[in-house]
Amino acid sequence: MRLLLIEDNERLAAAVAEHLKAAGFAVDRVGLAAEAPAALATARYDAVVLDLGLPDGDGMRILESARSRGDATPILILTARDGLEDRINGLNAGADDYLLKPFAMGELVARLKALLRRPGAALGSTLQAGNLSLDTVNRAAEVAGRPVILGRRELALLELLLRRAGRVVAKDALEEGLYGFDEPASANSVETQMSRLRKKLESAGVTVAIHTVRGVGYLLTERRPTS
Amino acid sequence: MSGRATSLQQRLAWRLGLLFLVIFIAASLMLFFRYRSDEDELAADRLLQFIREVTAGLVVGPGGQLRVDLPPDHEPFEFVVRDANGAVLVSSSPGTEARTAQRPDGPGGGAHGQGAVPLQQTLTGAFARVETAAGPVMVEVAEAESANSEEMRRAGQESLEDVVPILVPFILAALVIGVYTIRKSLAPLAAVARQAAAITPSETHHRLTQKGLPRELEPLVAAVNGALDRLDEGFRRQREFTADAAHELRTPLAVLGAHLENLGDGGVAATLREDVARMARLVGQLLSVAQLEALAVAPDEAADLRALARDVAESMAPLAVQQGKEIAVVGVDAPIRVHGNGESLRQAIRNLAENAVQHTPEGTSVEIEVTAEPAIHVRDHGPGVPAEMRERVTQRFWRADRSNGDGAGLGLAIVKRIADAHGGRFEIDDAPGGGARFTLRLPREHGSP
Repeated sequence: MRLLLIEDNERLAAAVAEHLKAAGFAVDRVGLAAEAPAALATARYDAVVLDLGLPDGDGMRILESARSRGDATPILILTARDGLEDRINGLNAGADDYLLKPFAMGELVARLKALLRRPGAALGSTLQAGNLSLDTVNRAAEVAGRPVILGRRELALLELLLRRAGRVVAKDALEEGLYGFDEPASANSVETQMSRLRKKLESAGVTVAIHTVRGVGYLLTERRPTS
Repeated sequence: MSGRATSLQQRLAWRLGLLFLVIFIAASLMLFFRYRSDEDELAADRLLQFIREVTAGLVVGPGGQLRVDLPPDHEPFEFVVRDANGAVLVSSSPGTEARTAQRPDGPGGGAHGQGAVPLQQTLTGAFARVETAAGPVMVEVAEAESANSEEMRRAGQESLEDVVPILVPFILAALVIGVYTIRKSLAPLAAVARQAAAITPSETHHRLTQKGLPRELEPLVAAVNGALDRLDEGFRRQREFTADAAHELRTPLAVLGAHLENLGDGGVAATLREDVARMARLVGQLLSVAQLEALAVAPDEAADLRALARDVAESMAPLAVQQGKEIAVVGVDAPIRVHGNGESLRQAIRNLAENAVQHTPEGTSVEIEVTAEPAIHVRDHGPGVPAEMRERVTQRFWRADRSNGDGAGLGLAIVKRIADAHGGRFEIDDAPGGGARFTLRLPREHGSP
């Protein structure tokens, strides 16, 4: 997967690029706002990491012009400014995610992967976590290479959780995901489906866990090696 | 002067009162003397009349003896008739000559004439030379003593009667107008004082209004506003510096963190990474403190506590799960609207949740409870906060254990500051069943029941 990193700080850009390469990404670097359009025009990137504070112009311009051209490449903003307005403006201008400096490399990689797991993005068709994989086109789940039989609603929930693996999926969003099915979503239908999904995955020996965040939603993580 | 502040109103009342008293006395005296001199002219006419009456009544008796026949209803006056040598020929009563003799030119002094001559301070008299059948005589007349003092009394009384009805209402009206004018002119001062009292480090943009103030007070208010401008500028620079400094520190910290991560999972690198994370948190908190100094909640700002609590739990859950802990949102399952700034409230709840996740033991959960009060409670199952330390933990840079603390001890101070800026309360107590409970009580959204 190919990433464009637009960051003016040479030392930060080098370190981030090195880490992203180690995580399996191919990384191109530009340091000026003026170089960004040419880079975006010459290659097809799976995602862009964009620093908002560039010496020759606001990174927000790059974001706006990319979106106005109809470019839907996932863009993650980096900034040292943490005002609420920056975040809202960035997300309104079409950014897909937002990370405040300083950030942990693991966080950056996780966020990028989450962006790439979106439908239509580079990792969007086959979702993976631990020994679990889900083919979203053929609607088939496998644990350690062996198929697991899941119902349509269970598959829908699993897809939502996998696309945001490592982050919480709000219960409202899961309910919406189930809304399209014939049966009316009863109050605890998400809970019912979720416990069935858990049982099936666990009996298949899965290495991910689905955590309940009471009052909020659910969170799929890879199991900690120690437990 | 004593330490008491002088009242402008009181001083003006006193001085005006004094001025009016002086005017009152002066006017009374003036009128008194005016009446007196009017009386004097009348008295002179009367004295001439007396002289004519005495002259007309002069009768030379058969033995050359002089006698004065007066009409029975004549006015009360005294007279003396003397011969050319000044010897008394006839008088109205014995002793009269002793008084009339004191006229300045004296009897027989050769002066001839007539007119009003003050004799004593209380007596007015006149004299004339008259030719009679018995030869020239000197007729001297004087007002009866009782009439004279009666005249004085009348003059005094009349002047008072004229002065009092005019001056007294005038003085009272002037006093009332003076005091009212001062009171009315200074009334806007109270409003200005209220404005000044509302100025705090976080609301330095307010200025005192000059509208409606007397012109005399404008220089003072303008000077105060000028001082506020300079203070505001100082505060602004201070805030900008803190914000810029925190901002500028972030990129190098990100560089440092990135390099450390590329070093792999070795022991030293892991320790250094923790240090960088701590440093990053400190920088973030310093920036928050700088931003919160300027936090002023607009009257129409509102936020939903439950949505904020869910937001915070959502972002904290991965970390909690990674540490083998849980985080949950419990309580009212409906939006709880409060009057407040959403972003700063989110930060307060986040600080409380971070603190709780840090202190709750593995295998336990942190609960963020939303109540209809409206309030938000964050409870953990950790050791709790001893009662004697509850006040101190909300002070800046205070940590329970300085040798091993995480963060800069700013987290709870920031929460307290946010609570204060909202007119809310921040409380720490024991959770039922053990652990600490942090409570943030907030005002209801404006206009909600």
